Amino acid sequence: MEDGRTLQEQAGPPQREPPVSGEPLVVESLTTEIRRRRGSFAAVDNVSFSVRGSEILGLVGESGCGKTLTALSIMRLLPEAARITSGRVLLGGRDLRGLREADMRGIRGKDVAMVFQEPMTSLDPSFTIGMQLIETIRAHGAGTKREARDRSIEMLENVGIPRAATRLDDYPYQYSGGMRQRVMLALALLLEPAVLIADEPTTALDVTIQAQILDLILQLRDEHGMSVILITHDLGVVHEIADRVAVMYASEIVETATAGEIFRKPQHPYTQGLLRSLPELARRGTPLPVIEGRVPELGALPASCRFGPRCPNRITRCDDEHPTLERANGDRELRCFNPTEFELRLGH
Amino acid sequence: MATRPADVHTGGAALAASGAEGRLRDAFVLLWANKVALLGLVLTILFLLIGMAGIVILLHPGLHHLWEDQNLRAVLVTPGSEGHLLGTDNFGRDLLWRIVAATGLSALMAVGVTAFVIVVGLVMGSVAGFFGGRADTGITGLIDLTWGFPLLLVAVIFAGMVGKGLNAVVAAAAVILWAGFARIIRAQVKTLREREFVEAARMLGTPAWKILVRHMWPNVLGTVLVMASYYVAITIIVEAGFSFIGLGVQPPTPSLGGIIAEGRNFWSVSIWPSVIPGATIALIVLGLNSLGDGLRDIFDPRLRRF
Amino acid sequence: MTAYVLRRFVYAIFLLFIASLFVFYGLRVAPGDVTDYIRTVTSGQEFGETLREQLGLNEPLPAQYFVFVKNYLSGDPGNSIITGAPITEILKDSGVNTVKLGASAIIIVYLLAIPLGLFAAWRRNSPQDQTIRFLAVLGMGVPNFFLAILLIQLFAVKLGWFPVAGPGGLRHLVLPAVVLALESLAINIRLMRSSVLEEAAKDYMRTLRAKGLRQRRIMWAHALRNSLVPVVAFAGIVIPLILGYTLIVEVIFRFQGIGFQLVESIQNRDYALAQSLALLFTAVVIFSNFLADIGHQLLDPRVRERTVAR
Repeated sequence: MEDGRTLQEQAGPPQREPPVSGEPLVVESLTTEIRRRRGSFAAVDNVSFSVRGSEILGLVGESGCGKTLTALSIMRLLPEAARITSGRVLLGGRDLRGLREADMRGIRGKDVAMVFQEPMTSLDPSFTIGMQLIETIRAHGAGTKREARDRSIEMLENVGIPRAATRLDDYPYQYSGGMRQRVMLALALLLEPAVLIADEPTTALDVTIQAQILDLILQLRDEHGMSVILITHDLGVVHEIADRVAVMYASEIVETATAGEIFRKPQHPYTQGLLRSLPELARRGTPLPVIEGRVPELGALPASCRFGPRCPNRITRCDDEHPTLERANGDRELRCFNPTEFELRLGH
Repeated sequence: MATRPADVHTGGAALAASGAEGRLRDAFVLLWANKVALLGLVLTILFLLIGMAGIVILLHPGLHHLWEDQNLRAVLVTPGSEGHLLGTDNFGRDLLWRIVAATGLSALMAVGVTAFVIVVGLVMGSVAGFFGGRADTGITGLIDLTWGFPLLLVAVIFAGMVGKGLNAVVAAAAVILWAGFARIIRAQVKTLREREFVEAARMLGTPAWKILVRHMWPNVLGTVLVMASYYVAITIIVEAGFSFIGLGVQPPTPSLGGIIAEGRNFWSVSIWPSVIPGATIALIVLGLNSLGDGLRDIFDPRLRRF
Repeated sequence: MTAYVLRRFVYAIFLLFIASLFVFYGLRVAPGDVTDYIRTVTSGQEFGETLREQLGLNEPLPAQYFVFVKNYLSGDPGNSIITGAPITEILKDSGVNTVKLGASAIIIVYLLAIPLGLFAAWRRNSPQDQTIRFLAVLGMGVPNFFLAILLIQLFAVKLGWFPVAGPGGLRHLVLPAVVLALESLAINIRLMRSSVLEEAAKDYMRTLRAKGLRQRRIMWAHALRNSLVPVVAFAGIVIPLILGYTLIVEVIFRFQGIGFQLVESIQNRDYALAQSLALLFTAVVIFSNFLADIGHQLLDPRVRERTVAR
């Protein structure tokens, strides 16, 4: 690895109890490397988190910090150049990493489902919505054609598509962006998965539609009781619906806490920076504060604290050591040598 | 630009920002990196050089003896024989010089036709794409009319009209091929018209022809180069086929297709008089196509042949 | 959709009309006519004049065009001046032969190009893919008439598996159809391969995998269906290309189709026959383009919808 450290020298994951039934998905020390021309780099570095039953976990960070790759690692849908090198992904106690591809296929769409960012291009343009829903049910052997069709109509109605029985025979281009994202949600929830991964589900949509889709996710969670991993770069989205938040920076998790804690008392300087740059929280008439600098390139991660170069709270220790993710008070985990209290001057 | 699979070159984006001159230089660097395209470039340059030599010996009467002189005591000599590197044909004429002359004829004709096709297609496509309206309707109608007809059918009918010979195939290629090119240019000009720098020029009252020449044509330069290499290849193949069936270049003037046809009658004695010109055409076309493919990957991966 | 088909059909008829004008006047203003040819083999000037009179070659051109169209439509375009055979017979026989040959070539092209292109894309950069791509590049470079004489030499003369030339049964069809198909096959394999790769890179492919579909279903149902759109659109170019090459291939194999007869009649300046053949040839081209166009419409739901709305 470029930064000269091996995995053994890195800090292990925080001590964790064995998976309990209350946690349908547990990710343990997951590391995924990307092969580049100059070597392999960990784009997901020793990431651990868990999602509890019926919980919405927000996975937050700037683009390029490894959120999507984490999700694709769980689904085992990584691009050719990427490879999981260590860690475990436990779904209901079963390690997905050890499964044969055929078994993994049986899990995708049935036990874990995923919704993507681009509703406009995420559906096959040449197949009707109905065909795309029905084939999913059929692929998992979950019913006859007739049953699959009825189930699809029911699910479309469930996500708020009017006249679902006729819209079933329409092609994707006949749906608007918001409607397509509803279809994507219907598609994901057809087989009542235990976990739904939603990767920037509202980023490509208009603001009003965004709110509708977020409400829909909440409503579906309440009806179906699945756990949700909501991936987003937008803390505002997380604020709307998440129960717990994990913040990622430069391939690793830097802070996890309940949503309330994160918004009331963020401790990692990066989380604080993200919060400060929320337009809703900024003082009117002043320029929106931004975090100076950029996420470091994968090949050029500092061996010390990765956020160090951009951190306002930096102390000498930050330049010498790589901080580990430590259990802080209560349910919080934090990767920082010098956390400070956060003062948020609310605008009016 | 749409995302392309990994094995397709990513040159297009790199070229978007630079000007026409810088673009050509960048294109050359990328071409240098693509070995197949480079081989195509080498073959094409070789073809053009031999073609030029061929034109000289075709047009200079003092040099006609090179490919005209018969020697009935040395017919169908095998390649590598003394004085005849590629052997001789059924009249004992030197095959090397005949092929050089025939290549000259092919090159002259194909480059001429291509130049015509490019100019007409460029003008028609630009007018249709830039002005729209009635001019567009008219030109698009004309394109649709010509473009579905097989080049060879038109060439054969022309041969019926004006008699056998090079004229028929040249005229047919000119009449048919411009349409495909005009269609591509029309689409590109239409897109370019919406770009800021063109809008700005129009708001400043720059005359239309100036916008076309200064702002648009440099941007379609890549397309011109790509399609030109394809059109030269197509014309050469069609002419060779046409001469092969006896409707094109008439003997004793040497043509690649004609030499193959003549040689075919003596196949039982020696296969070389038809195999060598056949391989020559294959190499020329292979070279032009590889060069065209390489240029296409650099300039516009979405461009299609024809 | 019906409205669209109708509109394209009317346009095809219009094209045919333009083509008939071109074919008629083109082959009428030609230097010399059949009497030149006959004069050289028979007697002198006077006989030629009587013949011109008999054939109506002295009438004004528009009148001749009218007669030409009327005869053609009434099913009696006259006889070949050289052989005396009724033109309808020649048209029928040669038409059937060319359609057989052209259709075989087109079937070979698509039957092989689609799976080979898909396979090459699926196994991208594998040795199989590289072999297919190399052969495709080669297939586009080797002129088909040259390939024809190589194949004749090998399979007909040396091995004797197939007849050297002539129309006839299935065995007579194999070599010319293969030769005719080769260039288009090469072009279509490349097109199909790049089209599949383009589809494989699209967002919806990830959705399909996330749904838990088998790779086989993703390739053979979704990727195939979507990559076919440009391939079918391209048929509008491939079909005229193949039909055009029948002119050369039929001559080489002395396969008595429209192309062979047309070249022959033009060599003989038998213009009445040439006109009829050229018109039939054009009709075949226009009709195939029409079919390719409709096929494209049927395959792409977006295009289909737009044309319904129009």
